[in-house]
Amino acid sequence: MTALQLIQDLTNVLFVSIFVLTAVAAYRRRTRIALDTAVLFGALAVVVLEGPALQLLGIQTSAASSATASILVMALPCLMLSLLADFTNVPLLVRAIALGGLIAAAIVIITSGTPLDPIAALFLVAYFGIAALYVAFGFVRLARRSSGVTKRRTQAVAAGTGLLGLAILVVAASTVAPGAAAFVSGATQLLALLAAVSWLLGFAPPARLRRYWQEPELRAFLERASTLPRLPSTDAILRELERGAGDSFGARAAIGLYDANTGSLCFDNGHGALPPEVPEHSRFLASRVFASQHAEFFPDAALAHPEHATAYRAAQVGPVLVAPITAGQRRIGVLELFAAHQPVFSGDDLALAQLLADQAAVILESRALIDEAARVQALEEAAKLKEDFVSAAAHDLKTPLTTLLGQAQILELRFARDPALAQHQPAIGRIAREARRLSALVEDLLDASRVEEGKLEVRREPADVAAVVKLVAERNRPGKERIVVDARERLTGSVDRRRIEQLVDNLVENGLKYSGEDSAVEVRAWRDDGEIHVTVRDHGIGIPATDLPHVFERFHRAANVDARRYAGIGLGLYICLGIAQEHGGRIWVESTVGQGSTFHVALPGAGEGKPN
Amino acid sequence: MPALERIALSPDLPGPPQGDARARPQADGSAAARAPILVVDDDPEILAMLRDFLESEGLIVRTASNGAEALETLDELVPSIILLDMRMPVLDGWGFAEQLRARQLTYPIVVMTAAESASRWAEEIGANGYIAKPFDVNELLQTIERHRQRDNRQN
Repeated sequence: MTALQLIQDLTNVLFVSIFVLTAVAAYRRRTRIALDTAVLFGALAVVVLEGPALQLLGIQTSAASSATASILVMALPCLMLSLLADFTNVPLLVRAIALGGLIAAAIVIITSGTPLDPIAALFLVAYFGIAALYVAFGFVRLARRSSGVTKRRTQAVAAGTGLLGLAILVVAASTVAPGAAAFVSGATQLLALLAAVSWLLGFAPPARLRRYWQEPELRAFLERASTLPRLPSTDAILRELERGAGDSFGARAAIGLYDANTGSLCFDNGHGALPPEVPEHSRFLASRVFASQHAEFFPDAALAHPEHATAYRAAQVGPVLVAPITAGQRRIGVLELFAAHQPVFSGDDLALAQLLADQAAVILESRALIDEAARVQALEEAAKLKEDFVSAAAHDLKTPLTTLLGQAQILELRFARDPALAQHQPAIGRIAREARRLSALVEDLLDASRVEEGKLEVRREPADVAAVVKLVAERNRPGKERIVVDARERLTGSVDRRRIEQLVDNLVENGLKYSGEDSAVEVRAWRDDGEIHVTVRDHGIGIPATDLPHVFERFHRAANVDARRYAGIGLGLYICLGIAQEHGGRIWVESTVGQGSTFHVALPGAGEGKPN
Repeated sequence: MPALERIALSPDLPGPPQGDARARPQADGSAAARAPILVVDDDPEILAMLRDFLESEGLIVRTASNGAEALETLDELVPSIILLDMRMPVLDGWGFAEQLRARQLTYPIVVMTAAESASRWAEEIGANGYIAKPFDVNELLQTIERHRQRDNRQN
């Protein structure tokens, strides 16, 4: 076997292999491109197999079979042109000329005998060469417009087409210089082999090569990706992702984010092909992929979604790729890629699109985490600010109150000592009393704010709750004589004495406030089952049933409380609840309208093991 | 330093004076009675009021508007007690107490603050007691007497 023979056999095997591969692809996915590709390589396979097959069958090469083969070869430019037309616009005139050329060539082949008359041969060669070069340039232009793996595969196809055209030109040269027959034959075979290799790489590249070709775009995208989550806004990230994905394909990209509130995919930039809100359950391609969670390729958007065909055509959308953007279980949205013409190699693009969508999911998820962290930080800062404010306000309110209250008391003392000033004593007494009330109000506001923050300071130490109850009852106040105390035993608990005093005082004040001027307010304190119980019972207006669940809420005042008659802002019971809870205790109320209320406090008793 | 004695004071505690049952410091002829009370507070109104009140009760009063001023005052006098505000400019209550310790001065201190953490702060600086603003002037007087007298006994 000569080297020439080997090259020829290799070329033949390659062309047949490409035909088998493209035929299988066309069978799997019956698109026009796949069919055109398979027909082109079917024709080539017949041409290259015709000679050896006849030889194998022992049939002498006949004039008829030779003419058939020649006509098939001449049909190749037309087939390549129709393949090119699937990807890009080929003027109708060009296609008409090509078809005319093919008919003319067929007539020339049939009418002229063998060997061909040189002028006829020159015509055939010129026709083939020019057509092949036109197609090659068409693919070169296409390659320039596309990017990524598509660009490289288009380039390979362009090279293959160009090489085949060159091979035919070399054959043409042989008719001019018949002396170089051996060289021409070898060169033709070599060029045909290179063309076959180029086409194989272009139409059916091995997976390894495909990955190698995809790498630069992926690398560029991933390098940019690491900085994306830090962009100022999610919108900026989306625009950048769309740009990156579009560049990787030489197409337009749109990202739709799922909004659970409206149940739709929101596209900020649908390129005119998509409305801003695509309903989750609809015929839109994005919705279908979002529901199935599988990337899908639609060769023609208008066919796949006829209801929306007008918009697709207006936006020059042909084939569409959609991939779900999903992080773990969280369905974030979809990545949709539009092209005016079909990208050459949809199978690979689907995998790449899914890869980009997965990367987008990671980026958007990171961004969501960053946003969440910022939100939490802002909340914490706001809480801290509020705390600082309350603390500063406490200080600033109490400082003037200190002077006001102190000075009023000092004057009270002096007026009491000096009989000449005795007539003014009620006046100064009123100032002192109101200053004290204001002071108590400030304290209540601060305490309520501390309860809300869970920062009520409680310093627990052993103390006799019964003594605290008696102290409160003996405190000098209007209505003091109505208070009836029943606290016989010592009730040592681990409590903040000041806070318990505040709690009981609040309840007693309420009892006095909301009951008649001659009715008793009964305060009981006892130990039961390890707990210290304190009840404050009045026989006053009571609390309506509808208000009972709310009496311990901030600023809540019962419906039967006439705000003009009973002063207060509704903080006392809220603070009582906070104090009881801070001690690990409970507080509740039983009440009947018109008959009175019983407030009940239960505190954990620390001293039950060692009774005093 | 005596253990911290907690004085529970709230604005609604016993108000008007109960006659003249209070101890009258001027009746006490000891050295402590003549030793001045140092009041440290950044609020001039409170300083003026306390000076007016305590002097009318027969006590000698010196005032300072922050910790640094108070330290200067201490160069020339020995107080019977220091009423100390905590949050002040230049040198606050904590810094002042630290300086006192550094100079090994152990005057009785009563912390006088509007903050809720009065008792904790008093513990932090090893004060003898605390009084929460706004305070009852009778309670203030009693507190001063308690710590001054105790100091006398120790001397």
